[in-house]
Amino acid sequence: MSGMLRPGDPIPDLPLLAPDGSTASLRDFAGEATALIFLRHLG
Amino acid sequence: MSDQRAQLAGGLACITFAEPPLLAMFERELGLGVPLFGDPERASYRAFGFGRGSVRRVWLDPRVWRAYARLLAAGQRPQVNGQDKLQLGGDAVIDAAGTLTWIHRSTGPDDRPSATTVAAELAEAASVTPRSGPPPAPRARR
Repeated sequence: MSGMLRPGDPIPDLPLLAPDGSTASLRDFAGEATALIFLRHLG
Repeated sequence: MSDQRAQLAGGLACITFAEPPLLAMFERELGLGVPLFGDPERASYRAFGFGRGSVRRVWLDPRVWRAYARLLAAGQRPQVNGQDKLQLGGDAVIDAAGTLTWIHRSTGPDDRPSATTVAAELAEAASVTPRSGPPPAPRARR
């Protein structure tokens, strides 16, 4: 991947962790329009 | 919050760079009802261009002080948990095809779009690529 994502770009297949430790992918959100809120930190 | 979520035109998820144990703790304590995921490596933060702020912008800017004052007045209390407070976040909307349609990169802790703005961008993305079939909640993989 070169550079940061811009509107019109497909989201990449990057790993995410669920609270139970299982893994998912950013690409798993495809299939429904979705708002992704990236937090600064918890607390 | 559940009423507001029901009015959204699509899905909603929160991503942080916390490890799963911290995610689980906040999921229990906050009970937001929003899927919460961790990206400890911050690969997604880098991909979306969510960088780190300067100490001056994150801690010394009056806009940040005002934002924290509002939170404290509302009864919230900051927690010390060792997380990187300089990491900035942001907001993004993707359509059903998995294409980024809108993004807001925060320039500081106080710089967030309104919920109305995010909801409108989500509705726009949903109108371009209407949902077909059941919502595809992210599938956990072991």
